Amino acid sequence: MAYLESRRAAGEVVTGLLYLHEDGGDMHDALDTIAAPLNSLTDAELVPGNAALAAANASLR
Amino acid sequence: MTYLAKPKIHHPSLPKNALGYTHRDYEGAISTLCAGCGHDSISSAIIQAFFEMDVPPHRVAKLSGIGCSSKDADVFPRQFARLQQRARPDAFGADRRRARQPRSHLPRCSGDGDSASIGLGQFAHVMRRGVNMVYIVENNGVYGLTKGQFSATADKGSKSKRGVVNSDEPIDLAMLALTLGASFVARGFSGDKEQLIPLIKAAVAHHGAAFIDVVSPCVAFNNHAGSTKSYDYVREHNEAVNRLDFITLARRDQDQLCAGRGAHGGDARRRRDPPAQAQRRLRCRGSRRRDGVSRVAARCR
Repeated sequence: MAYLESRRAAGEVVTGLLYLHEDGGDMHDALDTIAAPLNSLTDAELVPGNAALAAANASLR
Repeated sequence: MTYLAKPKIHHPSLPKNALGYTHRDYEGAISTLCAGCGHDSISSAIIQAFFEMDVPPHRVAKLSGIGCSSKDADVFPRQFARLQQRARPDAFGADRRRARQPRSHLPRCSGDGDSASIGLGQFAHVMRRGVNMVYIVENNGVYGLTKGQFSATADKGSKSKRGVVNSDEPIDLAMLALTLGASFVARGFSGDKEQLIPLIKAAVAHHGAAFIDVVSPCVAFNNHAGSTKSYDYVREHNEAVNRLDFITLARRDQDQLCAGRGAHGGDARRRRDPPAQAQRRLRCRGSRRRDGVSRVAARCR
């Protein structure tokens, strides 16, 4: 970034691949979501039931 | 030439890709942009990239907002032009939809006004959160549709067509993307497709937020002496830190790419596997100029 800024200050236009982090992942990796769209999920997958809700609530207490 | 109708008949010797499609199969309507506009070169580079990557044309759709950069969505067979700054939410949802239609590729093309002014907030959060998309900014430094006012990316000290000097500091979108955590950041020039096409291919294969800032001169309002985004200026001051080749390592990788899984593979209903070989697809052909470049070039090997 210091190099980019120095070249910009000199009036140069730096082109090419500036940065690559191949293991950076994406938002879905960070959120640990499934890749399937929500509208393709079944009711059983979307509504896991009272037991799952109770467990989730308990984990937040 | 924008005023010439495209012939409906293909030349019999028109090159075909591995799927049997010609370059023309990836094109849509005639461009309504000014003749010589850099945006048309970028569209052509995107088309060429998908043609060479053997992605079926009906699996490519360009998302855009409003502005000159968004008018060229018309030149694609499938395109979605939305309200200004609204293409990013579309792309956000489209990222999810790709799992439903895993063979789809949805590059998001924006302008400097759309990304650095009214849409800056959305640009920042797309990069920060690492939304899996190819985000291309066609950066001409002016608002061409409203007669050439400076945009937020216009360099301080550059002159408008009428001689007015820009007194504001510019927003460097590539630098901003770097600070926000984009995992693929590049800058290209619409007058250098030899460099730009491999960058687009690599961005398509990348898993994560891939950003390309493409300097694209506006021939009507920002291609004069005193402009820092004219063809002449950028050609004279283009410091290409690397030039890349995009290499498909094996047929299996290509199948994964066409299946919309990039290089990371995996079942659409399972959590994604870590990205794998995107970097190996890039082969650096050597940096062209100067010190400080070798570190970037070495990373590409």
